[in-house]
Amino acid sequence: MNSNSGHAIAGKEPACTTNCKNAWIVSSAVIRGVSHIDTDIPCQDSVNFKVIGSWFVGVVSDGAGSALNSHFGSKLAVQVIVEVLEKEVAKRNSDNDMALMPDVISDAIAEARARLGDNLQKDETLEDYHCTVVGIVANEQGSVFFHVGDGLGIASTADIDKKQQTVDYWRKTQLSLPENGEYANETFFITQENWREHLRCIVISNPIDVIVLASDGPMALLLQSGKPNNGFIDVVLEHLGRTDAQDERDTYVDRILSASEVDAITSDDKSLLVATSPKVRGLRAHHPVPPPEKAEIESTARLSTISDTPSQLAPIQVPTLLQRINTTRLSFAVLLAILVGSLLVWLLMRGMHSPFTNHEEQISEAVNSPSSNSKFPAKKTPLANTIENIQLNSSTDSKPFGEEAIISGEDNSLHLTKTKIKLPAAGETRPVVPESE
Amino acid sequence: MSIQEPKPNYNVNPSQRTPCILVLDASGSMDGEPIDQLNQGVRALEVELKNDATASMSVQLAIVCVGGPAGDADIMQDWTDAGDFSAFDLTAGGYTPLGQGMEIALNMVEEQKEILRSSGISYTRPWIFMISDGVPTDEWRDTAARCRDAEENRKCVIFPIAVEGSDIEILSQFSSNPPKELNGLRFVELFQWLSSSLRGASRTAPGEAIQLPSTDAWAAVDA
Repeated sequence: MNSNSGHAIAGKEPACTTNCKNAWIVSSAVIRGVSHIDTDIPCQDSVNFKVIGSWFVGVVSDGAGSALNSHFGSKLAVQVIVEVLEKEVAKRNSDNDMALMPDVISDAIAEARARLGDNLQKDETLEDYHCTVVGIVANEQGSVFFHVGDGLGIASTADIDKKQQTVDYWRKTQLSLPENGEYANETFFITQENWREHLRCIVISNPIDVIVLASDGPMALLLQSGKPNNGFIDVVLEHLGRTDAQDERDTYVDRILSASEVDAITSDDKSLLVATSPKVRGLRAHHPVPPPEKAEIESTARLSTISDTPSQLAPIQVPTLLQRINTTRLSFAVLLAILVGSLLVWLLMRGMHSPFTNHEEQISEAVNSPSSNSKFPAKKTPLANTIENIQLNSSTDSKPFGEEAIISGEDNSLHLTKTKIKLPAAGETRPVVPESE
Repeated sequence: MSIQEPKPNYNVNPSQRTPCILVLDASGSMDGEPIDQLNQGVRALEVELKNDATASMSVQLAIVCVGGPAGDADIMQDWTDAGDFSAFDLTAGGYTPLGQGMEIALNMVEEQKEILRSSGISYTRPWIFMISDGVPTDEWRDTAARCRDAEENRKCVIFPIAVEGSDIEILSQFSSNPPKELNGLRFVELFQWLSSSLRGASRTAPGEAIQLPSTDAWAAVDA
C-alpha cells in the first residue's frame, strides 16, 4: 500500500508475536485522505511504534498540507523519535521514574529536528517539513504522553465492570488533546523554532491498559462530548481482542478508517493506533464477550467500506444475518411484501382486462383480507431472497457517499491540472530522507 | 425496509466548519451574459460542494448581494451548511454599494464565529469572496480599511475577484491579497476552484500563508 508509509515502518518491526505473552498488542493503520487523493498530494501521516519488553513507545505524526515535504517530515520524525526513545528505555528498569521521561522525549524531538536539518536541500527550511507529533512512552508502572500540535491521545486503565460482567476500558482515562490556534486548521509543529513552547507532556503515574493515538483526521470518531466515544472505540477494542493475527488486526483498523462514514467527517489523512496491555487480555479471558458481535462487526465493516479493496472484504454471512433477524420483524416484512405485491398484481390485472377477469375477484379478496392470502403468489418469495434484498438495500444505502466523493474528485482534478507546488508522488524515494538503517 | 445494523457509532456530525461568504456584484452593469454566467457559477458551486461528502457537511455558505433591483446591499442567503444550500438566480440592476456589502459580510463573519464558538464547534478562518465588475458607488474607503484590518488581525481572509470592467486599484484596497482578474466570464471554473479550495483548507502554523490550488482555469494571466 503506497499511501501507507508510516504503517510500512511499523510493519518492519513487528510488535509481538504469539510467543511474547507479556507485551502490548498493537494495531494500526494509515489511510490517505480523499482530498489528498483528489489533489495528488501524498499521504502525510506517519505512524511508528516499538514494543521493548514491557515497554511501549508509539508515535503518530501528521505533516502539514501547506508544507511541501511534510510527508518526509512526518516519516523521519516518527522514525527518529522511536529510535531515540527505544535506546533510552532499554537502559531503564520498568520501575524508573516516569517524571524523568519528558527530558528524554524533548531530546528525541530535538534529534528528529536535527536529522531533518542535516538533510535540508538548497533553499529549503524546516518549515517545508512541518509535522505534528502525538506519542506515548508506557510500561506497566505508568506512562508519559507527549504532544506538539493537533491529533489525539487517549490512555486508560481498564477493569471489570462488576455489574455488567464485561471489561470496562475507561475506568480511569487521560486525554492528550490537540492544541490549535483560534482556527481549526492552524496548529503547531515540531519544525517551528518555538516548538518547545508547544511541547506538552502528561505524566501518568498509574498503570494504563488502553492506548489510542490518532492524527486529527479521525479525531471526531474517537471523542464524544470530551470523552472517549465508547460506541466506536469499544466495538473496535472488542473486535481486536478476538482477532489473533497481527495482519488481520491491522486490516480491521484499515477498514474501519476507510468506511464511507468517515469521509463525511474528514477528507484528510487518517491514522489510528490502538494498543492494549497484557492485563486487558487477562480481563477478556475471564469475561469473554458473546460471539454474535463478531459477525455484526464483520458485516458492518463490509457494508460500510468503500469498495476499492474487494480482496479484504469479509464474505457475506447470511446465516448470521438470519440469526439476527428476529421473528417478529421477519414476519412483518413478509406480510408487508405480500401486501405490496398483491396491490401491484391487482393494479396490473386491472390494466389488462379480458383474459384475467375471472381472477379479479380472487385478487381483490386477497388484498382485502391479507390473512387469507394462501392463493396469492407473492407469498412464495423464498426467505433467502427477502433477506438478500434487504442486505442489498442496506449496502447501497451506505455506498453513495463514498462514491460520490470520488466522482467529484475526478471532476475537480480536471480543473486543477496544475498546482502551484509540484509534489513528488507518494512512495517516491528522495535523497532528503535517509532510508532506515 | 432495512434491518437495524449494529455498527460502531461513527458520530457523523463533523466537529469542524469552514465558513465562506460570497459578496456578489449584481449591479446594472452585470446585466445580460455576466449575471447569467454568475448564476451558473453559483449553481456549479452548489453541485460541487454537495458532491463532496466532507464539504457538504463542513462548508457553511452565505451570500450578500450588492446592487440588484432593490439597489441596496443585502443578505440574500443567511449562513447555511452547504448540504442545505440551494442556488438561486440573482437579477442585475441598480448601483454598486460594495462598501455596504463588505460591511455586512464582515459583521456576518464575526456573528457566525460567535455562534460556532458558543456551540463548541471549531472552525477554519472564514473566507470572504468578493466579486465585482465595477467601481463602488458608496463610501467604501472606511470599509476597505476595516477589511484590511480584519485580515491583518487574522479574523478572516478576503479574496477580491475582478470581473472585466472593474477598477482593480480600488478592489485591491479591500485586501492584502492582490485581486485576481477573471478570464472572460469563467464564473463556473471560478466557483469550481472555490469549492475545491474550501474542501482542502489545509493546515498551517498560525500566521503562515495558506496554499491554494492553481487559479489557471479561471484567472486572467498576470501581465
